[in-house]
Amino acid sequence: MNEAVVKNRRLHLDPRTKILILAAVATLEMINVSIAFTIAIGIIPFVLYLADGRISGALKYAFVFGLAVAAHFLRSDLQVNMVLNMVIVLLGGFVLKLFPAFACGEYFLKSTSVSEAISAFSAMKVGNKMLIPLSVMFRFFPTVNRERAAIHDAAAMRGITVGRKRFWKNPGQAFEYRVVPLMISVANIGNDLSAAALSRGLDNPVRHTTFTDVKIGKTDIIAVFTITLLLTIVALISTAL
Amino acid sequence: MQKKGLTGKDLINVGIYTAIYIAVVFVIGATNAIPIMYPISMVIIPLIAGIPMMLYYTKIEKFGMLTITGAILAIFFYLSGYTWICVAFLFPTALIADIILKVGGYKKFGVIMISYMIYALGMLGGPAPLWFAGESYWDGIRESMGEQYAEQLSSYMPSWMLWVGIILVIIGATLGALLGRKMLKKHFVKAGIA
Repeated sequence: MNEAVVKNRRLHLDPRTKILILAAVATLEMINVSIAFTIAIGIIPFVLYLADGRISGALKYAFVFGLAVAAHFLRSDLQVNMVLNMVIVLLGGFVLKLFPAFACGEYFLKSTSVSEAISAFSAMKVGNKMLIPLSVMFRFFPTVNRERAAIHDAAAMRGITVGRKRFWKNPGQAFEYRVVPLMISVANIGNDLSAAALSRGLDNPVRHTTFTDVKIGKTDIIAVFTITLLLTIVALISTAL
Repeated sequence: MQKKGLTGKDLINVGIYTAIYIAVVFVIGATNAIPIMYPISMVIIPLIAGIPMMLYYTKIEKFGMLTITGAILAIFFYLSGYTWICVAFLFPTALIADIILKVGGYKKFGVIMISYMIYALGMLGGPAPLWFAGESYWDGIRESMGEQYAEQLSSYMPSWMLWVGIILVIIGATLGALLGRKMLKKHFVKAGIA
């Protein structure tokens, strides 16, 4: 699925390292240490994007996060009307506090192949009861999206897309015609998937072998060490000031 | 795995319907960039998710499936940056919904509806961190408007939001369950899926 990505990737991190970084960012971004600390956390996904070779993703992220930082510093100077001010500051706070983890999560999903993620999860001793649903989900998101697109095409042929007049004549029905086929194909795909997976021994209680082996290498240690060091230094300096 | 426990098929169903639920929450939740959509989405998400969830409920015959869904949702939303608050919402609500289902029976619509209401409440864990992210906003108000004003504003702002949210979600979930059942009867049973 992601072979092209795997080949072009500049920096290859172990999925477990990514999960660690993701969890750390998700936890630390909510702690109010200082604005410098928040910005330091915000830099992490930016660097991850860059290291993954996704320049445009990095720039988009930097733009949104930069706006939020600007809104934070300018908030008391903004003498626009009350409601607009509230919206700007609230959205800014939202981006500052939640966006880094969103971005890290997106990075994780885009840069990790399914097989890699599964072998990492099983190396983390995640039980079968979690592992099977998780691996199904990983495979399922693109499938759902493809089905949705196919149904959208069929609906467009009948002129019942959101932009067309026929949609608004009877939006409830138009909506029904979109959701029900999607649900039906999803349920059928589910049955097929179960049949295929069971015939390949999913229910077998032994440890399953995986195609990709995961290893924690030097880059992982360096990455975690660098991030820890950066955040500690920023936290110490900014609180000391 | 023995017959009594969850089979591979059950676990695959958990994965599929959890994925769909997450997709619904994310697609509709994306409209939350406009703050006005926040209360509206609290009705719309359980309403629309009612269709896949009612289909999911027809597949649930054992204890544990909803709980695993809740656990996955909690992990997923935690890692999406919704903090521990969403875990505190998502996991217990799914567990309680599962227990209700076990006690009340897996095929009774009344039980399913109550179970779905509780389950849908877990969604409130999503907007909850915003009340915390809003702290920088409160700081801003305190600087510009003074302590007293900020206190007045906060005294009636966040506390009732949660209650309104609960009521909105319950309304949405009730309608969603009814809508889901209607769709099941109209289409899915005929197609031999539910």
